[in-house]
This record gives sequence, structure tokens and C-alpha cells, in this order.
Amino acid sequence: MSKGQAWADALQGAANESEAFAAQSRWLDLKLLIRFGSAAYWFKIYRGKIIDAAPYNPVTNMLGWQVVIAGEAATWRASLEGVGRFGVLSTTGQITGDGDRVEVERCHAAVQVLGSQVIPQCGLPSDMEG
Amino acid sequence: MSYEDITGGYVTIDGTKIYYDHIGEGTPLVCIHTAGSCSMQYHEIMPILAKAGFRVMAPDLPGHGKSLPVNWKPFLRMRDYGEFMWRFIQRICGDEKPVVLGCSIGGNMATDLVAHHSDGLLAAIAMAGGAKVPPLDVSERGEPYASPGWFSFVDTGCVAASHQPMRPGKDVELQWLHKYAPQQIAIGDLQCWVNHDVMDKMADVSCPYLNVRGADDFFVDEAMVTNTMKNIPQGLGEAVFLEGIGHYPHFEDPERIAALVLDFLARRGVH
Repeated sequence: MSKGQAWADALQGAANESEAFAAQSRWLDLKLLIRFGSAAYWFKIYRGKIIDAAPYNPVTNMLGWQVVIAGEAATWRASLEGVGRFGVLSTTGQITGDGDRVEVERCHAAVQVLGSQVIPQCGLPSDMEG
Repeated sequence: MSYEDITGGYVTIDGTKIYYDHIGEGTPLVCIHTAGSCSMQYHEIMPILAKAGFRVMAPDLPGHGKSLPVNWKPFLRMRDYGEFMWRFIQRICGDEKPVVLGCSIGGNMATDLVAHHSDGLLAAIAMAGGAKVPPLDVSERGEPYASPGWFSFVDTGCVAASHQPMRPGKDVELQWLHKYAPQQIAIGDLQCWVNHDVMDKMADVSCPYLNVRGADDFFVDEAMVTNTMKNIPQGLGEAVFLEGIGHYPHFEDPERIAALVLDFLARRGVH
């Protein structure tokens, strides 16, 4: 298994143990892409769980995505420093949500749980550059 | 005194039912809340100020809390909003000049009022606001079907703009306090935030004016405060920059802000 897949699996596991994530994603049916600088990871969220996770390559992933959460590598590193930093960075547009706008809105609270609780727990992916 | 001593009342302004909290006796002091919120935002600081000899009043702005919207529509221009609040203030204060204190859009409104009605005020205190603010145009989010995640964004943004960590439980309370207005009203508030501009009126200020900015408030920058203060006649304006405070000074640290307000008003001979 690649390091990227191991990280994606770790994030999936941590998210699925989070009551907060389950509550905020209960009514999502979403393909979510997260870009950490040049690294990208794909997650399928369905009814409160992440049911599939993988490093993202548009050549090999035939399912695509609806929402992308993106930030520069340095910004993601900053998101781990101090209380509430992910909220600040996402509110001020340094980490952005884009794609299907309605789905961006619907998944905002779940993404906040991922960014403020789950990703800090797992750490950032090792293939993140910059 | 505590928030349990706060009582409420209604007045009719422009044919619209407007609610306000009040506590204490003495010099009138009117507190104006932030966008999409309500008078409860001031429930901790109101008793402290009342104990110091103020009759403290905090309205629910039209369409917020227990106040109805004027003509069932949000205000879209700060000048109209400010003038409505001026009629409210005249009604509840009668012949007495009040101190006006506000935060965020309330801070802008306090600045609008001091720019247009200084003669009728003892002093004005603007927290997280000023004469003109950096743009944050969210007008396209006014309808729930267009922006179904609006309240999720507010949940994130209000806490993110506060100093961290907040006192235990205050993050959730602050989020709830932003659910006292329908989305259309809250977005209208923010349109008023965007189009507010009284820069060319600040030279007309004729009563003491205090501007308060928190170091962790990313909605308000230093240039905004500098520009707000530069045209105020000599000696009338003061600006303070507070470490450990964000966008909601009176809510984040009511004791500290009450002390700051009381010191300012005492030094200025207001109270």
C-alpha cells in the first residue's frame, strides 16, 4: 500500500470514529476532493461516513468530484497551529471550497470538522509539497 | 445585578413593533448588536454598566429577535438603518442625551449616528466598526435556497473572528446568538456593512467618540480605524487596540470592556 493510500485510510478511519463528523455529514452524499498544495485526496462521503478514500489522480479516478477544498501547503501547515486556525483560514479565503456551490454550502459544517479535528489528528499527507 | 434583572419593553417606530431590553437607572446608554444577532449579546455587560449608574437599553434591531421587520423587509442601507435607530433612540430616551455603543454593524451604526446626530448624543463608542469598512459583499446569499449553508458559515466565522480560546461554552453561545434573525435580514445587515460610508461626515462629530478594535478581528483592519479617526475634530476621538480580543469585545470579555467604557466616559466628563 502506498503512503498516500495509508494516509487516506487513516483519515477515513478517524473521521468515521468522530461523532461530530457523523452528525454534520449525516445527510451528505458527496464526492469530496481535498487539495493540500500539489497533493490531492478523494473521499466519498455517504450518510455520515466516509465509505471510500484514495489519493486523487484524474487519469485513474473515473468518479470525479463535486466539491474541492483547497489551500497552499504552507496554509495547511498553518491550520495545525493553535486553536481555531482552520476556521480562520477557511473564513478568510485562504482555504477555499469550490465546485457545486449548493454542495459546498451543504458540506461546510462537515468540512469544518475534518479541518479542525480530524486532519489535525491524522497530520498532513507526506506527499504535500511546498 | 445580573441578567436576571433585565426586563423588556416594546415601542412602535414607523408602525413597527420594536423590542428592547433595559436595566438600571441613570444616564441612558443604548447598545446595538451585531449582524443577525439580538440584544442578548449584551446580557453580561448590561448589568455591569447599570451598576455604574446607567440606564442601559439594548434593542433587537428590526427583524431580529422579538422585533418585527419594517415593512417586512431588511434594511439595505446603513443610512436608513441609522436613521430608524435614531427615531428609536429619541423615543426611548426622550429629552435625555444618551451614550450609544455598538459592535460590528452596531459599531458602524454608532459611527453613523455620531456623524449625523452628535448634538443629540453624550458620546459614541464603536467596537469592530468605523466610518467605512473593508468590503465583504455577501448579498447573493440572501435567500436560503441560494445559500443553504449560510448559518454553517456564520457558525464558523463568528467563532473564528473571536480570540481563541473563548471562555468555556461561549463559542456555542455566540453561534446561537447569530440565529436570531432570518437569513434575509442577516444578509441585509451585511449589505449595510458594505455600503456604510460616513468618511466625509466625521468632521461633523461634536461629542466624544471611542473606537475599539480587537487584535484578532480579521474583519476590521488598522487602516479602517486610522481613516475613521483622521477627520474627527481635535481632541474628540480616541482609538484603542486590544490584544486578546476579536470581533465581539463586549461578549468576549465584558468586565474588561465595561471598565474601558466607564474609564472613557469618566475621563470625558460624560458620567
